[in-house]
Amino acid sequence: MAEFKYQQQIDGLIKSGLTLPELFSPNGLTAFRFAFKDDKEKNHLPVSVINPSRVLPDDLKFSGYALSCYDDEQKAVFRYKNLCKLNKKMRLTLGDSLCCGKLENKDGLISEIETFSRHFDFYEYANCDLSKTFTIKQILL
Amino acid sequence: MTTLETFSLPFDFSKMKKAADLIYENGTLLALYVSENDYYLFLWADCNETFNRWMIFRTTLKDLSSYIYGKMPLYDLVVNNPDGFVRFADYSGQGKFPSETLSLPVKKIPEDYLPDEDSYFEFEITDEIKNVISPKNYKISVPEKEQSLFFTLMDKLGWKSTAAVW
Repeated sequence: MAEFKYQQQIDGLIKSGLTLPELFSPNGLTAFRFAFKDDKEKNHLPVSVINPSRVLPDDLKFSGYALSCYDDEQKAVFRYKNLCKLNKKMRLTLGDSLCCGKLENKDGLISEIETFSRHFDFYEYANCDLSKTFTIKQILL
Repeated sequence: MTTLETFSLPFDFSKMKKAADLIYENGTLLALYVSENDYYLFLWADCNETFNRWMIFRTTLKDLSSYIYGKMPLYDLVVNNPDGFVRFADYSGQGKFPSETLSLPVKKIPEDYLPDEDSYFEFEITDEIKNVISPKNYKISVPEKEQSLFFTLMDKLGWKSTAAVW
């Protein structure tokens, strides 16, 4: 089985007693993610990896090493608009755009897709690089 | 990051226990913490190259339930919070949470940091959230002469395990 990109950290969480959620092969699923149009180096980084990390103390969990994705463009845009109601700085941490690409089985595994929001977590394999396969679909400003 | 002209207040994060992520998108954006009988919301507010800034304010279980069920916007929880002020903490994501927070009366919160007036909760109500706002977390007192009727009603609602006598 291929290793996850953040396998060491995931192993650490498993050792601490947490259970990795059930994961599935993406089978070429078209996925949408929030992204930065110009600051591309900020894209496709899990929350526990970005610097500074947007993690509160003692709150490590598997999803901190996964990427938030949607399988429905309209649901993703709806979500973005709702998130931007939380305050006017939200795009500094979410990004300003929606990017899109296909998730192949060689890229990693996905969590169960939430029924209403169509959100899921994507756990990258070590050799996955979404910056090569995902492109900006629309600006969300 | 917006400069805050404010005063510092001690803050003991060690007493805080995370109860739920209310809004999560590639990380926490709004989280609920409980300290003894007090409920605190941590709302992501801002960031720079070194820190994420969190706005922290107390709320009540009643207001929290109203927010989760779409009857009250987050804006109201912020500006009408029981303390009349909010705290800001700049946290790097590593090590201990700051032991001091910057505090501002609600009227002086920068516009950029306030939720929209129509910031209603339009997100998933997860099991974690349901557990927090469940009736078992409400504390009510029932006069002794009405307790029999109260517990009968609780039984009918299937909330036997939540009944308690004070």
